[in-house]
Amino acid sequence: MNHDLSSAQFLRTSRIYDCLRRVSTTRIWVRFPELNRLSECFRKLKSGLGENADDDYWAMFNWRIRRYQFLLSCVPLPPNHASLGGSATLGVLRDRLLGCSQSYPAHSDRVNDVVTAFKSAFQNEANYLLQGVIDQTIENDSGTVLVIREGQFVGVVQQDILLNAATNKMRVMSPKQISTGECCRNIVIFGPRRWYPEYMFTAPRGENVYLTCYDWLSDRWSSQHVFLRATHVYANRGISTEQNVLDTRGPDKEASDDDDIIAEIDLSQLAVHFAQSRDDSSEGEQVDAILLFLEGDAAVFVDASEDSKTMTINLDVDVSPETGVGNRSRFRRIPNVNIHIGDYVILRTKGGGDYLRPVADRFLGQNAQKARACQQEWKYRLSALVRADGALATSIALLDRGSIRADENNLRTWISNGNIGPQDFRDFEAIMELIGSSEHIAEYWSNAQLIRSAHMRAGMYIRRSLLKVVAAADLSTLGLTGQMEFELPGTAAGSLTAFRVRSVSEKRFKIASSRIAEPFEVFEMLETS
Amino acid sequence: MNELYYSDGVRWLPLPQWARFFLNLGEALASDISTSRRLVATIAVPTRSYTAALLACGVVVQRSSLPAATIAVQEYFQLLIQAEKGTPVTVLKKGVRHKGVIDGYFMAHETTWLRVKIRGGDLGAWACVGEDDALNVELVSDQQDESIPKRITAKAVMPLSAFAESLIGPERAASFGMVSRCDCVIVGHLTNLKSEILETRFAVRDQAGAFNHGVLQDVLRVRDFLDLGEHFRSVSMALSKRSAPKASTLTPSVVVFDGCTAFLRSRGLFPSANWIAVLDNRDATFADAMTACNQDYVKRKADDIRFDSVLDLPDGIDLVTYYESR
Repeated sequence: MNHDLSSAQFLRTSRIYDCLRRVSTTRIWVRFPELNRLSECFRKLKSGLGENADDDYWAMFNWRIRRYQFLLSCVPLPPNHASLGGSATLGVLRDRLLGCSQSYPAHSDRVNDVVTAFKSAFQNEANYLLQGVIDQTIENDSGTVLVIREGQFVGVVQQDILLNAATNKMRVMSPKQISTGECCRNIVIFGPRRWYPEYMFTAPRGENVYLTCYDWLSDRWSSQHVFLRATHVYANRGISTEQNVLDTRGPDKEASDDDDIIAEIDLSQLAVHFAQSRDDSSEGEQVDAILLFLEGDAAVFVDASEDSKTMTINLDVDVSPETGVGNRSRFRRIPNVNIHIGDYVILRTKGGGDYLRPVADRFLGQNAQKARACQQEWKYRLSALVRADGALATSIALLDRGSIRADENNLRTWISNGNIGPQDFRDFEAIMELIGSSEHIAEYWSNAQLIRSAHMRAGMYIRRSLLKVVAAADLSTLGLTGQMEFELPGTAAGSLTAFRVRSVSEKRFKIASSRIAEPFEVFEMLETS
Repeated sequence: MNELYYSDGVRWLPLPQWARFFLNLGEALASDISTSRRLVATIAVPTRSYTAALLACGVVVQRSSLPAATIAVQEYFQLLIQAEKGTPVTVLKKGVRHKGVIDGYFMAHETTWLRVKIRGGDLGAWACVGEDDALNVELVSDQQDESIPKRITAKAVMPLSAFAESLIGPERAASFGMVSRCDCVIVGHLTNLKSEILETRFAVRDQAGAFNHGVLQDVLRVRDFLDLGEHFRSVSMALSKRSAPKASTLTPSVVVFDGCTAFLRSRGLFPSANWIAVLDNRDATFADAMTACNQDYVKRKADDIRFDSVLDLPDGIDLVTYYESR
């Protein structure tokens, strides 16, 4: 009997259900008194600061401490590991401590306590989380997977555990990677469950799940996405990883679930701050934007208009390693409004935000400058009208002149530099009439068609180049770390990076169009603000 | 249904509990379909693999016990009177097929009549069709090739495989491969579905103890995976499609949405069909799909229903079933 590929797929599915039937959960409570002390000092400081805690002066201070505590709670690395940025954080804290005596003298003592506690935790060389795993004598083989919530640390942790004879055969994966792979014998999860995607616990991919957490942190958990029923009609026993009965510890321990003290920063709260930093109103044109937070502490604003799209890469598409069949369907340009957490977006990381434009300009050749100037001319005049009369009045004036799609949103889109112009001639004719350029309509329209054609060719060219590069690349890095850089030689597109989307802002922001699709470092933004 | 076996590469083994559960659930849901109310079942699963294919298989097996006309006349007439005005159709009258468009319905003598406009202009003409004659009205497919071949051609109808016959039952086998009917539409990624429906081998034991093997397609008879002209029992629909399949034979009794995106994107295309939504809890849109399910439940639920044959859910699966009024 042939053990064909699809039988293997059925067996894999069976193993997932077998795994769910047999899953057992073990609690590992880890002690790290110095970090606990830092949390307590930080809590006291925040409490003392009251409303002042949200001041710009403290933003970086808070961010740094919370981030450091968060990483130490879910990444099994020693506190002084360079990748955790403890040294830089200590510098920032000391700097704030110096300024504090003048600006906030009432809080100097508490700040001093925080800095001292931070120093004490940072100088510790022990890797408590990993030691907690070693103490459980979990098998040191490829069947044991350490799950790292922060994709950027997957490689770092893998390197670090190689140095330890008790862990050097274990594997390290991100939550996404483990959810799409084979079931394992043991999976180890670091930090409270609420920091992870729910499917890690409603459908764990390991027979033995080890929940590893510091003993002062609370780990009460309940699924947020459940059917709305007063009582379940059908019996469902529930998975042991979903239960809270395991959350027991010594009587002297008081669990803390203050997520404002130690947690991943809720970046959505900082979104307005980023928007203000990126809002260069002197550049005039502004567009509605969605803020995407990306793997590796990066973020990007993308155009929120309905026809704006971003290239994405889908790692779940099956590609034949021999023939490459399926590779083509990996890439799709999807509307920005449809981007979700977990998608991989491709952005230009060297050479500016829009990577289509320089390639399109190459296709336009010597016409490029003239074509762009011509396009800029009518957009500038239309934009001036909108500034003078308002978007509503201008769109009504366009409708009166025969436009069929001139609502305010479309009008803003047409003005935007990222958009070539209306695709329907009636809309374009109305614009030309309104800005007083009717005599140039044929020239401007054929110019817009020329640019559109060049952009389409550029899009296809970049996609083909990407396909070539990706076909030769090992995309497991992207799955592991959540980001991967691709160089497209000879395309003028510079370097492109695929980022996993970690969260999407619900709010829309007004952003200078020149800042759209331009990734930036969150840390850098906070420190320079 | 006879017990199914799967291959572990060495030998045939009885189907595991999770797979039997999906087959049985498909059968149980399909056995309770009525024209007066609409059944909705939503299943949260740890992986979408094989869920939709096995559920659809259960639906088709169950529906195979119903003669074609029984289903068509009652359900199909309901669908015709709910169709939008202007929907293109053909009407068979006295042996002649007329082109026309649906022009609503009316009540007369406590009977519902479908009104089909068969001539336009000022001197319009209408055909009135009662429930008994509903099968004389055929919705015009958006993909239908209306051209007639210049030469009469024919193709032999292949007999049902022993595998399919064993699952369907010998008494139903004769009509099963000879009559096209859309018992089920599966909406999802066709690459995944093809692999599960066409390539994974299963088997049933005959009375002598020998294994007759086959694939789910032998029972599902998905039109899109068959040769042109072969009789079908289900239809697949890619996620990218923006309109439901048309034509009378493509009006589904049950729609299985394979994954959260399929459910969120395509559920509006099948407002009157019975729904089975398969939600993979790893999908990026799982939370959105759950919210949509819960909103539907609050807005539309008429009755909760518990299927007694669905006793023990496999671990990691959550299920809700309820009726909506039509």
